[in-house]
Amino acid sequence: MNLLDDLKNKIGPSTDYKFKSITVDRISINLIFNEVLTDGAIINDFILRKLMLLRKKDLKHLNNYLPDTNVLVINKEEILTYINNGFLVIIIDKIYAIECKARLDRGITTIESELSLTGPKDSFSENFNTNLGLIRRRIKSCELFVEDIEIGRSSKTKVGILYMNHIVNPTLPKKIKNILEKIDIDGIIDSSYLKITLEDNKSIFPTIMMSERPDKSSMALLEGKVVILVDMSPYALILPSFFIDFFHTTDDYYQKSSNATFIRIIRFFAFLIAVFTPAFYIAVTTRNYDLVPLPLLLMLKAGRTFVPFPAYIEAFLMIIAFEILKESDLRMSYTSGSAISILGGLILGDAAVSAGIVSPIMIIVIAISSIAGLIFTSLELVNALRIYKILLLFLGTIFGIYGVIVGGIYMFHKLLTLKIFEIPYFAPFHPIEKNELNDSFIKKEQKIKKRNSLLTKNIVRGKYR
Amino acid sequence: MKKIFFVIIVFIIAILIKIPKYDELNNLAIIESVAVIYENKDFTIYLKEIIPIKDEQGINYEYEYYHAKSSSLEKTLQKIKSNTKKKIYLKKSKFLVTNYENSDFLKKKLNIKPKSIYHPSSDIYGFLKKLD
Repeated sequence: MNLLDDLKNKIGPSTDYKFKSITVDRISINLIFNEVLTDGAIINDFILRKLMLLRKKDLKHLNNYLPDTNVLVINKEEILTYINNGFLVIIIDKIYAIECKARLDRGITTIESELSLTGPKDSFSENFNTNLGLIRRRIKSCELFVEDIEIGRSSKTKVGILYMNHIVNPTLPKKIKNILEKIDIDGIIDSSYLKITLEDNKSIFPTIMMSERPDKSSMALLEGKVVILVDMSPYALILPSFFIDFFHTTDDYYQKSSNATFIRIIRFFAFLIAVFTPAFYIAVTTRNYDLVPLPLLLMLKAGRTFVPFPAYIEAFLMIIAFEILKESDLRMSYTSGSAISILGGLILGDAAVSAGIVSPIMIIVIAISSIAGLIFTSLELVNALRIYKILLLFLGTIFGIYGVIVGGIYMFHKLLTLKIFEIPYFAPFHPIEKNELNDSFIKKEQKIKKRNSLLTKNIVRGKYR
Repeated sequence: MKKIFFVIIVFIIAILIKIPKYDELNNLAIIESVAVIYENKDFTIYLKEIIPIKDEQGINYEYEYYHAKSSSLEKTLQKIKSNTKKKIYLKKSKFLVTNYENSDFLKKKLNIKPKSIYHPSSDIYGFLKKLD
């Protein structure tokens, strides 16, 4: 049979592709499937069992005869695509593709990176349909549109663009789709690949949020944002994401406004501490002593008496040491990770101070700065803070407090001028957007809930009472 | 082009506002008290440096003294500065001990703002040593 030989040639030496021929009621049936992508139990217990009872009269309505909801008639060019997507292909008079996908994901597990004290605990997994289902279970509306596209010449990865049709600014999904359709690459393995393409700016700050939380993604959809799901990626992309979004957590929406406001202000201070503390410390201990009261200056001097390195080298070494510890802690298994934390954080730190290599105050400064940075769940934002921390440290060393102020102005200038899909990144502060200001650093309950007018024209969400 | 312009502006402002010189804390002689003796049209300056030493009990303080004599305050101070590798840091001085009547002149010339000014009748250096 020419078609089968042709398929075998294309498949080559791979042994996971299976060909099976059966004859029932003098009908010759060829089955082709991939044994790792399909569920053997479904094929054996339902499809094969039903095929053994096939009669010639059933051929006319084979779609309805086979016990599967997803039975498609395909052409011969599509055979391998369907097989590689976990379909069983049956060649009789026509070519049928029957969905028999094996469950190759880890199911719905609890959240690992964006922990919350209250609210849902389920997280996205690597399965596209599961992820879509988790959102659909939260938004049971046909207005939730899902546009599928396939990216990657070899990987043929399924990518879904999700948006609320009656809320979203219609140009936004179009723009996103246009960008994604232009991607011509052999494969994308994770949603991060798309993030790099969609972020068309050179800013260090993230403009697209990655989230493994279905509740957060659903909230974003209802706000008029677009969510992108990628098959085999447990992270959804939420876009556009503004600077203020990285200061919000889902917990903020599950508790009283006063608590949310308090913790958001704490996060803002943590942001400032993470970026400015090392640079400020270096500036006031090497150039601008006048800013430090005498008792504190004497205490700082006492700590540095036997330290052989200049303060800026000491700070830089400490930042590098902390980053190495953090990286090793992340990559190690949970059991080894805790041992490394104890060894690195406590024993090495104490030994370094005792040996006079670093001053205790420097350990405090770098530790406070680094821990303050970890308050944010977005790895991209943490990385941005790290880069600005080092840049400001450099400027603080060269110009003192003046350098720190110039660096700070530069950073805020970058934030103010950055745009994501033509919308200012620093909204709702620049330009001022009144509706969104009530849910910025301060969370204020309103009788009528409104959306960000920069995102959508459909601004009224409704009211609670 | 904008970035180059920005960097140039930053450097010009840095020059205009006079960025303080880089000095490590280890290299800083923090002067706690200043004594100025005016005798025979000569100024003698004594500076008392406070050196914090950390030990198991906490922080203890030791003192080191610098002195020089010359016909003007500026020259005297310059002599002290040239005799030590440390950076003399006077701005945190708490006490001024002097027999010179116009202490405001001294404060202005030395650029210090002491909390207390003493005018002992004799043994100014001895008085300086006792101050704490």
